[in-house]
Amino acid sequence: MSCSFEALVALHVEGDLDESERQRVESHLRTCPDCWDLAEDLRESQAIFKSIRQDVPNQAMLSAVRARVLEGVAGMESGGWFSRFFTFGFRQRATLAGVALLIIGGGALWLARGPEAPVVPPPPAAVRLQAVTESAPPPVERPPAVKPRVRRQRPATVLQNQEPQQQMTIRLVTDDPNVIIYWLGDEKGD
Amino acid sequence: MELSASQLWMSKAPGEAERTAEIIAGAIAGDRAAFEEIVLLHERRVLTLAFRLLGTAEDAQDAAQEVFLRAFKYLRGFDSSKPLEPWLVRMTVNVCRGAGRKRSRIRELFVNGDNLQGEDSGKNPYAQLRTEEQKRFLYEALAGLAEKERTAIVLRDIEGLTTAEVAEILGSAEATVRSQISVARLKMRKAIARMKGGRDVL
Repeated sequence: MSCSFEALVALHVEGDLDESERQRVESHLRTCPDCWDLAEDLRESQAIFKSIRQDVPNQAMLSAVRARVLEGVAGMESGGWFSRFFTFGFRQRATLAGVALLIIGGGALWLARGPEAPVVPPPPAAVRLQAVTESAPPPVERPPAVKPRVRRQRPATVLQNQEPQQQMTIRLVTDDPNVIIYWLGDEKGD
Repeated sequence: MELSASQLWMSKAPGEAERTAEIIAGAIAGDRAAFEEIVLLHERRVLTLAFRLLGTAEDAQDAAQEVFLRAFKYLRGFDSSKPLEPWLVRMTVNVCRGAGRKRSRIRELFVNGDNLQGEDSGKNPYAQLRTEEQKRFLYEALAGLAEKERTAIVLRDIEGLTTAEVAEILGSAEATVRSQISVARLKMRKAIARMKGGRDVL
């Protein structure tokens, strides 16, 4: 059977409808034999289902739980942070584990970061410029000169720690993509 | 006026509220015996509910332990003028819902009827066998429900809470809970009809 009142009938048998719904379902039951049978079946099945109310845990289960609880409480009272960690709820444990993983993962990535590729000093700017202008078409118009931006390449931190006298490279980038000026020197700026 | 099951559950005998407040205060103050008394008073209900929601003795015991440890941890924040049992029931439902168990495992172990004992055990062995068989079938049918349907019908029809109380515990709208209960009852009816002899109910 399939009647739009089925869901309401299932609520009606246990008195879960408000007054107006109850009246509507009861008047429907008087005219729909299928729903009438359904209500009868539901009353019977509910009575059988409710028989599991009689079930109670046996004494051994209760005693085992009580013993574990009291042991856990004793651990919480006397234990340090380690035992407290294990009495945390799942969410707290998951959060702590997540934070720990982030820290460990971040640290591992930081340590695994290899030294940057050594910077090969290019030939002098004038030479390069000349070489480029031979093959490239003549520039249409040079854009207005802008103060060159200075990018200072930082050497790898690990190497910096190990070799304080490491060579430092300063690269001057001009607006002309073909012109890059490099300065090589040590950390002192010599 | 007739009291509902849940009202009876929350009602207090004269002097009981004071005694409960005293026990809770003692437990908060670190009196281990007072906390043990709380466990003794409520362990049956917590464990039974956990068993009905989870379906295995092992999971139910784990959940009950977790409930009481949480209770111990958060007891300081509990308003001792209120009854303790609804608080523990809510906590039990939350712990069981978060247990993350697998349905196949529930299906497998719900049928192990050795862990709960009926009140009529020890009578006629044939009648007992029939009862055990019926119980096994009911738990299996219950395990076949979706988690929310199972929780809703257990709280409403077995634990005897009102729909409004179930909705509050589940953090759902009352209309949603009514729908879950209705669906669950119809499914249980079909399962029970099959149990009774395969009568076609479709």
